[in-house]
Formats: sequence, structure tokens, C-alpha cells
Amino acid sequence: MKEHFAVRLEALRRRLILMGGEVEKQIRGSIDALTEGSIGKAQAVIANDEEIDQLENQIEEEAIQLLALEQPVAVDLRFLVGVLKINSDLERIGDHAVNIAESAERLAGRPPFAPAIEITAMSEMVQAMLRESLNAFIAKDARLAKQVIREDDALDARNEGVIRQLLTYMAEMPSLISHCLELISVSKNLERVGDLATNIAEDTIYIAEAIMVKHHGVDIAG
Amino acid sequence: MSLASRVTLVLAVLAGALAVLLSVVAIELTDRTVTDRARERLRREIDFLADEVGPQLKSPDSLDELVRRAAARLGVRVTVIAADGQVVDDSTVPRSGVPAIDNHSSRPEVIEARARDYGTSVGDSTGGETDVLYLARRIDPAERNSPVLRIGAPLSDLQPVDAAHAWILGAAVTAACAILVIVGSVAVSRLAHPIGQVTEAALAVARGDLGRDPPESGAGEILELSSAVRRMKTSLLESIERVEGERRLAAAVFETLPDGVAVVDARLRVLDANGAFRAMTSSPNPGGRPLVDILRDRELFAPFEQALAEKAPVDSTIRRERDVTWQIAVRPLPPGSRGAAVGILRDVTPLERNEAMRRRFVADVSHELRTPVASIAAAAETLGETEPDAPETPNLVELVRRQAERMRELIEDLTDLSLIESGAVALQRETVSLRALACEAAEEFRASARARDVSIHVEADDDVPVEGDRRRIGQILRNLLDNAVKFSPPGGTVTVRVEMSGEKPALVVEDEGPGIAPQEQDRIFQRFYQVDRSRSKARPGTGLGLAIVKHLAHLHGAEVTVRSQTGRGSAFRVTFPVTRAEATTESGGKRT
Repeated sequence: MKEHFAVRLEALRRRLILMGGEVEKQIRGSIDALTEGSIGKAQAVIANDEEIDQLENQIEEEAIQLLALEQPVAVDLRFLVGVLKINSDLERIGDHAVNIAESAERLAGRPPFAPAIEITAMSEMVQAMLRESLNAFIAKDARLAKQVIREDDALDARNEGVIRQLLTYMAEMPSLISHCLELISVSKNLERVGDLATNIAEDTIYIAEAIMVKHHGVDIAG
Repeated sequence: MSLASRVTLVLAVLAGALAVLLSVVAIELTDRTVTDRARERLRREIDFLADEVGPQLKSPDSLDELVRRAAARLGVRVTVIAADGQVVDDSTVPRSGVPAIDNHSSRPEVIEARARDYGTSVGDSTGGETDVLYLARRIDPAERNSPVLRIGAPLSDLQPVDAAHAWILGAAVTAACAILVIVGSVAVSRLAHPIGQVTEAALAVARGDLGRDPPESGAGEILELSSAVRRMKTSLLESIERVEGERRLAAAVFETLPDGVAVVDARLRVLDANGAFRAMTSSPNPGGRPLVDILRDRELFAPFEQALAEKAPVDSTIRRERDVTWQIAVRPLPPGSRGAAVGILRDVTPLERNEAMRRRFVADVSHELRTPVASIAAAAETLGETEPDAPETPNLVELVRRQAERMRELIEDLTDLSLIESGAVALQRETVSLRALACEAAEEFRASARARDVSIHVEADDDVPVEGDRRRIGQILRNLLDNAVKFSPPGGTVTVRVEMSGEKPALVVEDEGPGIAPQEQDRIFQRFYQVDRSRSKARPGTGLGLAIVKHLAHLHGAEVTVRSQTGRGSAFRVTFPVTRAEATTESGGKRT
């Protein structure tokens, strides 16, 4: 019975990691769609979201079943709760990828625009955060997770900078207002992805060290 | 228990038994012999005494004297018994006491003596503490009812081997046996010592300590055993070395395979992964970790899962980020091996790129040919519909000529390129003056350059000779010059320089054109690669020039490099290999 439980936990963990990989691809795809102005790539991201949703449902079902049937304690309980949270975080990151892809679809064909470079840099930062938070989960590495959490401030600052820059453009060139609004939305979506990557990092710390980082102002300087 | 001590023990037990047996036999034998002799003596004594006693029977006094004297002389008890069993005289009893002695007719020796000639028995003496051997005989052997003479000697006198003798004998035998045991055990342990050494050597081999050799001493079978162990050790060492060598070879091959290879177990954990796999997955230490942690990609992971579930090979091609393509092949391993499946990752991006290039090449060639063919067809059609002397006729003819020329150029370039690439071009090697070639080529292009307001300079302070094919080096130079002039802005200058680059002759063509971005610099030598496709219409060319330059240079053993900065012009340098010194001709400067 115990052996069986361990195997199911391992399979669940595997599913979550693969879902993480898929969500990473969705984000990358949406950014590629944006920078290359590719409607095809944007549509692929949008179409793929359904699969992400299905993955989320499967993982949630399995995790709840394990919680109910096995009534795990301590490490396993924390792991299952963590998995449930990360699962929903990943699904929401997938939604943001769809939002970005939709913006990319609307922006396709428009001439390139200077703040787009800033957005690309920001997207690289966000992708790195997401990758590192998943790495931290895989390796149960609380230190790496704390590093991700610390990076979020820099991302927020970057987002504010992009929005301020875009607002200036809008004031000076009213013809670019819709374009700028779209980019502001992309920037905000990226910022949200960063927040969700931070959540994943926090859940990782919870799994690894049984410490609730969220809302408790726990010192993460270490 | 060691062999030596066991043998010693057996020896000791045997020796002990032997000692006891020997002692008993020896004592018994001597005992018998000596007793027999003593009896014989007793018999002779009794015979002698009987002869003496016979005549004295009638006179009790002299009989008594004789009896007592004989008893004293012989140290025995002498008894004379009358025919009716009444004791007549006894040396141990005073004469007065004789009548009180029991009737002896029932004594066994007496009865025996009456029946035969002699009779013996062992009995108590009258005094009684020791056993006495009695010997009796009829005094007159011819007379059945003759009185009987009996002598008795204490048995202790007759038993020649007493306790002390037995002790000495026993001690001697025991000492002999002890010596036997000691000598035997020493000999055995001497024999056993090399066996012990061989055993230790064999045990050391069993423990995996192969540095120890069994001794080369010992007798007969032991030496054989020892050399057998040594041979076993040697062949074991050889096998280990061979197996280890094979293992190391296999490991080295595995590690250096250009494809990423990973072996996983049934639970999809990585058992082993080679260098390429570690590099491709950016995981320096994948051993023992779940495969999913390392791949993290459904497309990559699924083939492993599928191959394990279906126990069948799975092949798949996966597009990674942007233009990177991987092929993945997973093969289940036969049961009994440590791993469950082996996965091979191959980066097929270069292959895909080659394939894409080939497709583009075909498309480019047809495109390049279609344009002039279409122009020619249109011109021919127009010519067919117009009068021969119509005013536009010369223009149309000129158009047809130009387009035909362009097609010819393209076809010539293609033919050249395919000939060079297939190695069908043989160089006509001779000593070629780079300065002369540079001047010739510059002259050729001067007219077309002037038309674009571009000037050409030749800098050749030293004439530099190279070994090569005059026509082909000229072709290199013309292709480079053609490009340089084409990309120069009006008013620009193209410089052709002949110089020594260290020991090596070099040809440099510099322009002041738009330059080439660093990421493009590798690709410009590819067929049909044109940096700015949108501008290629403005600057006609086949797109094969630099590819031809590269191949021709390689045929000469020369290297083509480009140094360029966007907006600052480009410099193409052809560096020839070192030429032999005698080829140097006169030096001097010439500027154009």
C-alpha cells in the first residue's frame, strides 16, 4: 500500500513537472508570437491552452484523491498541498500566456516599436524566473526559490518603467495609443507571470522547509 | 584445526597406543620366557632333590636335615608328602609341628603329580602373604603310590619383570613415541608451512588483493599447487585487465559519442548519461535523478514512457526553441540488463539547415533563371508583334541580349561552382605575380566602377608571387572586386592590396560599402546568400560569387576571411600559403 502511494506521488510529481514544461513553452510561444509578429504562433498558444486546463484538472483530481484516500501526514501532506497550489499557479500562467498571445495577434503586422525591446528583456527575465522556480521545485531547493522571490522586485520595477515609458509615448503620439495599451497589457501579464513564479517558489519553500513565506514577511534574505 | 596439529594429534594417539601395546607385549613376552625358565629350573631342582630325598625316606632325621639344607640352599619351600597325603616333612614348619599339617592328598599339585609325573599349582604359602608356585613330583617315578616331593617358590621370585622394570620399559617406549611425535609434527609442520603460504595467497586473491604471490618453494605437490595458484592469479589478472580495458573502451566510446545517450531504469530514473546528453540537457549530474527532472518536456519525455510501456522502439522528431531540431530514439533494453531503455538524442539542426538550404538553393536557381527567361519571353513576344524597324526594336534586342548574358553568367557560375565543389577542377599551377593580376583586374573593372562613381586603387609595394592557377586567382579577384564595386556608395573607393601577412602572401579587397553585420559574416560564403534580399534587385548578381571565391581559395590552400563593421565597409582577405623563396622577383612600388 505504502509502495503504491510512493509510486503515485512520483507519477503526480512527474505530471506537474511536465505541465511546468508545457506552460514554459506557452509563455515562450506567446513571446515569440509577439516579437516575430506571427499570428500562427499566437493561435497555436491559444489553442494549446485547453490542454493546459486538462492537465490542471487531471493533476488536481489525482492530488485530491491521494489526499482523501491516503490521508498523508507531514512531508507527503505538504507535498500534496504544494502540488495543488503550484498546479493552479501554472494554469494561471498558461492563461497569461494566452492573454499575451491574443495581444500578439492584434499587434501582428504593426511596425516594430521601441518599447518592444524593453518588453523582450522583461519577458526573458520572467521566463528565467519561471524556469528557476520550477528548477527549485524539482530540486526542492529552498535557496534557489528564495533567489526567485528576491528577483520579483526587480521585475516589478521593470514593469513600472515600461508602463511609464509607454504612457509617455501615448501622450506624445496619440496614433500609437492602441498599440501602447496592448503593450501595457503584455507588460502587466508578464508581471503577473513573475508573481505566479514567485508563488511557485514560495510553495517550494513550504514543501522543502515547512515554512509559510506568503503574507508572513518571513526573512528571505538567506 | 590446522593440518599439522591434526596430523600431530593422530600421530600422538597412534604413538600412545603403540607404546601401550609394545609395553604389554614386551612385558608379557619376557614374563613368559623368564617364568618358563624359572619353572624349568624348579623342575631340574626337584629332579635333583628327588634323587637325594629318595634314599633318605627311611630315616626321618637325615631327611629333615636334607630338606632344611636344600630349602636354605635353593631358597624354596620343600615338602615331602607320604603316599597317603600325610606331610612327612616341611622346610617351613618345625619338625614338631609337622604332624599338625593338613593332609595334602587333595592338593591339586599332588593330585596332578600322582596322575602324571609332575604337578603344579599356585597357592598360598602357609605363612601366607605372597603367592607361591608349587611343583610336585613322585619321588619314585616308577611307583604310582610313591611319596611326593613338593617344592614351592614365591611367585615374586619367579616373576622376573617387576613394577620397576615395567616402569623403565614404559618410560623408554613412551620417550621413543614422544620423540616420534615431535619429529613427526616438526616434519609435518615443515611440510604444512608452504601450504599455509599458498592458502594465504589464494585467500588474498579471493579478497581481490592480487599483489601477493604464493611461495616458489615447497616439495612436490605443494610446489605444483603453488604454481597452479600463481597461474590462476595471472590468468585472473589478465582477464580483469581485459575486461577492465573493454569496460574503459566502452565507457570512453559512450562518453564521447556525439549524440546524447541516456540509460533509464523501469522507474524512469537516469542510470547513466554521456557527455553529449549532459550538455544537451544542461544537467551536469543527471545520474540517479528522475528523467523528468532533466528533460522537463512532454515531447522529450513521452517517447521514453511510450517505449517502456509498449516495449517497442519509439522515434520522434522534436522542434525545440526557434530553429533547433532534435531527433529522439528510445529503445527498450533486453530483459536482464541493468537498464530498461536507452534514449538517444541527436541535434539534427545542421541537417535540417542543410536540407532547408538545398530547398532554398533550388528555389533560388529557378527564381534567378525565371526572371531573365520571363523578360526574354516577353521581349520576344513584343518583337513578334512589332515591325522589325519599329523604334523600340533595338531596346528590346538589347534587353534580350542583357538577360541572356545574365543567364549565361548564372549558368557559368553554377557550372563553375559544381565543378569546383565536386573536385573536378584541376589547377594549372605556375608562379603568378599577384601585383600583375591585381593591376589587370583593376583595369577590367575601371570602366564599370567609373560609371558608379567609384575609384579603384591598387597598392602593391612588393610584388608577391604565389604558386597557383593564374586564371582561377584572377577569378577570385574579379569576384571580390565585382562585389566591392557593387556595394560601394557613389564617390567611394575600392582598394586592392597585395601584401605579406607575415610569411604568407595575401590579397586584400576593401570597400567603403554598408559593411556586414557580425552574425551575417559566416553566411555570406553560402550559395545564394545575400545579406539584404530586398536590395539584391538593386545590385544584380548571381549570389554565387563568394561561394566560388571560398572554394577556389581552398583549392589553392588559401584562407578567405572578412573583416567588417556595419556602416564602415568590408575587407576581404585571401591569405595564401607560404611560397618557396626562389619565386621572389624584383620588388618595387606601383600605384594606380
